[in-house]
Amino acid sequence: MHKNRLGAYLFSFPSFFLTAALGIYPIVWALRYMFYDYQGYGEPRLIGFGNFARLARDAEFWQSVANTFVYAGGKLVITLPLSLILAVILNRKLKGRHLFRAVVFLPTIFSASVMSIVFYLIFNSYNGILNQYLLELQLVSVPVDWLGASKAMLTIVIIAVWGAVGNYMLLFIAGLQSIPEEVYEAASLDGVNPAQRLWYITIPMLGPVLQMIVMLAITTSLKGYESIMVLTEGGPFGKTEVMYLYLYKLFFPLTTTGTSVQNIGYGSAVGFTTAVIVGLVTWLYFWMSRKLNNLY
Amino acid sequence: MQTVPVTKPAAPARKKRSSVRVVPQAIINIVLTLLVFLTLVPIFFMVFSSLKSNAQILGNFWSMPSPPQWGNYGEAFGAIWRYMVNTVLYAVAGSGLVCALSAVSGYVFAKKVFPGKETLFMMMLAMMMIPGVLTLIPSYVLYNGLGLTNTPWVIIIAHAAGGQIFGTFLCRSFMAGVPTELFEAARIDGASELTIFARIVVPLSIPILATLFIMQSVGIYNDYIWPLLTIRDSDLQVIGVGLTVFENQFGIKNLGVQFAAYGLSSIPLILIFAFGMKYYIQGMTQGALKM
Repeated sequence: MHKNRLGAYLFSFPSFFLTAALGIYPIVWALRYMFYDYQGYGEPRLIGFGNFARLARDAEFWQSVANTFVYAGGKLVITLPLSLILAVILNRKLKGRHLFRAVVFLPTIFSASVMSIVFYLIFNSYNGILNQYLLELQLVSVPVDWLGASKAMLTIVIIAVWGAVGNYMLLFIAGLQSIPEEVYEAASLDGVNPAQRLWYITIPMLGPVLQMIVMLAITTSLKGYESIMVLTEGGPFGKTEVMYLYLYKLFFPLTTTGTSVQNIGYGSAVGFTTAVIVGLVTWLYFWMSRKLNNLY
Repeated sequence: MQTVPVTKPAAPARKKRSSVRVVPQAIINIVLTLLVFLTLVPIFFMVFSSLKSNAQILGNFWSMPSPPQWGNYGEAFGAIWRYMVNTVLYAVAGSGLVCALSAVSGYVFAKKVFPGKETLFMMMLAMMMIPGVLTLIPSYVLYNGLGLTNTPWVIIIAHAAGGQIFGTFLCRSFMAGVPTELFEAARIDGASELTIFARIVVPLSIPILATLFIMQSVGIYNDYIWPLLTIRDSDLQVIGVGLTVFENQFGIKNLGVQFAAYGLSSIPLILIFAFGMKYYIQGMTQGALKM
């Protein structure tokens, strides 16, 4: 047993070493600067909880937190059911299902920044393709301002769904493949219709896998910001500002907006707070799904 | 024996169902086709536009490219091939390292008992919650101090160090599903820890390692901010940064060439999924989605 233990330590040494040296050090560094006033140059000044006091009063930050929940909620509410239904359809012995799967998955491959430029050409109000078609088909009389204050979040969510459905579809297919075929055969004997089958068999049988996928989806969507950064930079008027983008701007001010300045001390405090928020939401979801499990 | 009476009445029942199912099947096909079309619109647009000049793109988005500007692809390839080769090499090396490290520590976390295991594991989980943006600057300072910036290692090692945490998590849940008796039997037969790892753990973990490899490769291939910060030398730069070169190099954006470059740059990832999709799903089924 003793030898065994030594082996375990030796085995995992490279991994622990990398984690400790390259993973933990930067985190500790950032945790330290939470308590400093540090703009990235000059001497850092210790200000205790000053950054957190500022954070508590920072309306822009809390607006970005609210926006994050709208964005993540919208993305999840559309993505998860859509990808589950697609997975159920494409998990059957359908002709050409491999091709369909590949096509639905294709968007996942393209990086957010690349596709955002394409989406800009589609959605922009001045000469965007979408508006040209809507006008031509006389569905609208004036160009829709897809990236304007009222529609920008919707557009962002649509783009996020476009990029995410394929991935979650694959995850659901992976989950579906662990459901034994016999269960469906038994159900078809009992004359269950497809909707009932989805609701009463597939979803409960997916159980833990479904929980895992939803958790993954929640954390990923709370962290999403790259396509927003390229497409709207959080604008107009901060309508699409999400907390990760807000955080990013504190560390790396975007040149075109020009309003934000680098603030590493405050940024570290914001980063810590966002990590706590993501952690809390994940934990809350975990706790609730456990509770629900116990009910059955 | 029991299956015989069960399947026999099932046959007529199924026949009856298939006639009832014709209508829903048609609806499913229509919906599916519509979704596939919507999915493809932006990609088609990109491919169409890659064969056009600026005037052709802005003139009419959906017109066929006439005459097609095949030269766009030549120009794009000349500009980005170096970045593509670099990034593929980094991705292979980085993902390979992630797989090696995660296999080892996943095995240790799943099958070994040692003091502090739970604490260490919780710490790793907590680290996955930390925003990447938060640690970018300190990481830069750290790698710069180690003299690794502006070398391939800054990409490879940073991704290996970051990815192995998630990888350990994946491999742990996968290996927890492998019966412990298997390792004990080998140990009784006198196999050393190293033999057990090389001959049992690794071969059994191929599906999850393939999944991990693909995930990490995509991550490295699409990375943008980290290489932008750490690599100055254009000969070492990655594709994510390389694609933005067009905007800076020429005064006016040549959209066609840019789209051609986007298309070309996605080929390695399309290839890896074309060949790896099956293993990707398999690894997911067997481990990634279990806690």
